[in-house]
Amino acid sequence: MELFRIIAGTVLIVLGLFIFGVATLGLFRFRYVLNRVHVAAKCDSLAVMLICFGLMFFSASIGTILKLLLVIILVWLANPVANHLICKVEVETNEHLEDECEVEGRP
Amino acid sequence: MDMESIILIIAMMFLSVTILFCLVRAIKGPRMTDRLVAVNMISIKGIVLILLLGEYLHDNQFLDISLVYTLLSFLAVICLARNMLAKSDRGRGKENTNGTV
Amino acid sequence: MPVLLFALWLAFHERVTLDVIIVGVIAVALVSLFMYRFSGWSTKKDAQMVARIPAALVYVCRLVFEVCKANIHMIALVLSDDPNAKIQPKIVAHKTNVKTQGKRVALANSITLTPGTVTVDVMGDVVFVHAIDEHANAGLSDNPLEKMLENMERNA
Repeated sequence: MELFRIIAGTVLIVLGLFIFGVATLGLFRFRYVLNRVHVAAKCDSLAVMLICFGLMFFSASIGTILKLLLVIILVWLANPVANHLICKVEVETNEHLEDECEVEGRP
Repeated sequence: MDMESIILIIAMMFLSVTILFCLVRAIKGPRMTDRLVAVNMISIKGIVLILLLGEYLHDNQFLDISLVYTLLSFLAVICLARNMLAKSDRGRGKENTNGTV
Repeated sequence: MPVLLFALWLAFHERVTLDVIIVGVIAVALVSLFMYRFSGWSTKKDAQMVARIPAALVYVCRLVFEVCKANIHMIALVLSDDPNAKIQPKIVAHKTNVKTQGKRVALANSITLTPGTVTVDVMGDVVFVHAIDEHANAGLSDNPLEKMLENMERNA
């Protein structure tokens, strides 16, 4: 039982770290901001969830688990909003948006 | 040293290295929004780093710190973005200078 | 709502002792008084929220599934040979039937978390979406999460 707990936690944490690594790689491989935001928005949310679940396996007390859940909820609410606002800033401020992507209706 | 601590230390080292690469992107980024994306990612990695550190030291106070840090980093990114929006509106001579989104 | 606030208070304290409960009851009473008086909450809204919990749980499960799918898509894209050649980024105006303000926020966040799309702006009932390739663009028109939100609205 103890062994299973540690293995499950380790697998989840390593998966989360792998996704963080891919997200960092994506920041360098894509050429334009709006494509980078895709990587940042999706990978961060899932990685935070996986690592928090992994830490839940490591820690035993119910209070810790509740707080980790609260961290997940806050990050899942905050991260899309922050990335959405970054996109909005980019679309509003870039004068040469049409060079990078097709625009079908502009806000 | 038991199994858990080794895993947590390796995880923290890996996260620190990825934070370093994010910092490179934040310094290099050709546009301001590139930097903003990188900073947002750094703060989320910082949250996870604090969580891992708290688990490694068996200290529950770190959980509260990371909760507060989540909200603060969100607020910082929102403030920077709205500031830039308001600035760009003023540059183009629009009416809307109070930065409403 | 007071029950939720009290649960949050206990979660912050991690232990249940007499002084924590006494201070918690006082604090929760003050905060809920403020919310009911000035912030537009009412017991009717609370009842509506409780009735919506099962549908919201199903929605969250579906959302987690979609996020996993989005991540697999993203990882495959980043690790492929030349990610810049494989994408045709495009900004699309997407009209939605979701009416309530809160549900539109949920829809915008879900669009950001589903495969290949990021919300750029919401104006009235039009959502401006940045889609990363044609496939994501096609998936936007029959989004299962949007259908679930519409169903929840109709049943409310």
